[in-house]
Amino acid sequence: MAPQIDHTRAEELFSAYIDQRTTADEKAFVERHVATCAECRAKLDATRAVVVALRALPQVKAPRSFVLPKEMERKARPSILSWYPALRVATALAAVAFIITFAGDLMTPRPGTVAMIPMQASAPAQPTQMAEPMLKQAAPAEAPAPAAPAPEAPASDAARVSPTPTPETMTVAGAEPVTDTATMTESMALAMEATPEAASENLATAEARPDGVQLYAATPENQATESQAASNEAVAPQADWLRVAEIVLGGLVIVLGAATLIARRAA
Amino acid sequence: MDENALIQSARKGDLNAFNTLVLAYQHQVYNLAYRIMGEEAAASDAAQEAFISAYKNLKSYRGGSFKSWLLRIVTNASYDELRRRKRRPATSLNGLMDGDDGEAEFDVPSGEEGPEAATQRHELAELIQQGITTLPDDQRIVLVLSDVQGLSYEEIADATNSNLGTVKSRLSRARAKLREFLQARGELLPEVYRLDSNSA
Repeated sequence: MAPQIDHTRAEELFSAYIDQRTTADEKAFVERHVATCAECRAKLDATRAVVVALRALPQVKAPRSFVLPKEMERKARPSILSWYPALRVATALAAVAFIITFAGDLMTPRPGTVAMIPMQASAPAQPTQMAEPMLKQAAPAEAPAPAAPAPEAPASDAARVSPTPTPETMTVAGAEPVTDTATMTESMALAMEATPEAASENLATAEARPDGVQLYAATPENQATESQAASNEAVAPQADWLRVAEIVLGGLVIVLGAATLIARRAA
Repeated sequence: MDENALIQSARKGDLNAFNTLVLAYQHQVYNLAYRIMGEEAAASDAAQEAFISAYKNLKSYRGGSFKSWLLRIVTNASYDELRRRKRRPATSLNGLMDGDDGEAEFDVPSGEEGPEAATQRHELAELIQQGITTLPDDQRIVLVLSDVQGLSYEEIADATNSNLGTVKSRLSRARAKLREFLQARGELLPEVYRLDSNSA
C-alpha cells in the first residue's frame, strides 16, 4: 500500500495533470500511482468530470444591454500628452535664458558694492542736507574761502540746501565742527550709501564750487568714490532691468517645469 | 469594421464604435461576472462597471487580445464587487437567481436534447454555480477564468496579477473543493459524479 504522502501528492497534481501542465516526472508519478490506488483513480476521474461539467456550463445571457449612453461620449480634445515635447523645449529655453541673465547679473557691478566702509545705521535724514553743510564747513578750515558764495552753485542745490547750515543739520553731521577732509569724505560715503543718486548729486555740487573741487582732488579716497559713483549711475538702471528679467524667467522656468512634469506623468 | 479599427475609433472618443464592441462582448463579460458573483444583479453591476471602466481607460490598452484585456477588467470589477458586498452582507446573496421567473436565463443549445435531459442539465448547472459561490474568492476567480472562460494559466496569471505556481495551486484546490461539494450532493448528479464506496 502506498504511503499517505503519495496520495496527497498525487491529488495535488490531478488538476495540472488534467490540463497537461505537469512535468514528465510528475506525469509518470501520477500514472504510476493511480495504476495501483483505486481511490485516487476515482478521485482523478471525478475531478476530470467536474472540469468537463464546468466547461459545459451554458453561457448565461446578459439580462440587458450594456451599451453606454450617449451622454458618456467624451469630446476628442487635445491631450496634455501632445503638449509634452513643446513644454520640454520651452522649459529648456527658459532655463538657458535664466542662466544667461543670472550670469550677466553677477558680472554687473551693483550699487551696493560702492560703499567701502562697513554698513552703518541707516540714515533716514536726507543725505544731501547732511553732506552739503560738510563741504561748507570744511572749506574754511582748509583754505580761506572767498567771501562771496559760489555763483555757479546749482539752483536746485540752493533750493534744497540752506546757505547757512541750520543747527539741526550740524547736529546730524557731527557735534564738533568738521575740520578736515577725512571726516568730510566719511560723511560723503555715508550719504552715498544711503542713496547713490544723492551722493552723485553731492559730488556734482562739490565740483561746482571751486573750494570743493580742491578738497576732493586732495584725497585719493574721494577720487575712487567719485569714479565708482559715476559708473554706478550708469549701471543702476541696467541692474534693475536684469533683476526683473531674472524674476520673470525664474518664475517661467518653475511653471513650465511643473507643466512638463505633469505632462510626463500623464504619459 | 474590424475590431482594431473599432478600438482606434473608440480611443478617439467615438462612443458608437465602443458600443459596437460592447454588443460583441457583453454576453461573455456578463457570463464571467455572473459565474464569479453567482447573482444576476451583482453581475449586471459588475459588467456595466467594467464597460464604463474600459471606455474610460481605453488609452491604457496597448494592443494584444482585446478580449483578455476586457476580461481582466471584468474580473477586477467582480472582485471589487465581491469585496463591497462582503462589507455590506445585507445586500449579498439575495436572489441567487433573480431573473423574471426567479432564475437566470441560459443559452440552451439547440439540438435533440429531451426535456428531461434539459432539466437535469439545468439542475446540474445550478448546483455547480452554488458550488462555485462557496469557494474562496481567489480560488473562485481562477476556476471561472480557467474552466468557464477557457483562459490559459498564463492569461489567468496576467489577469489576476499572480504567478503560475499560485494559479496552479488555487485551481487545484478549487477543483478539489468543488468535486467534494458535488459528491456531497451525489443524488442530484449524473452517474459520473458519484464516488461511492463501491467505485473506490
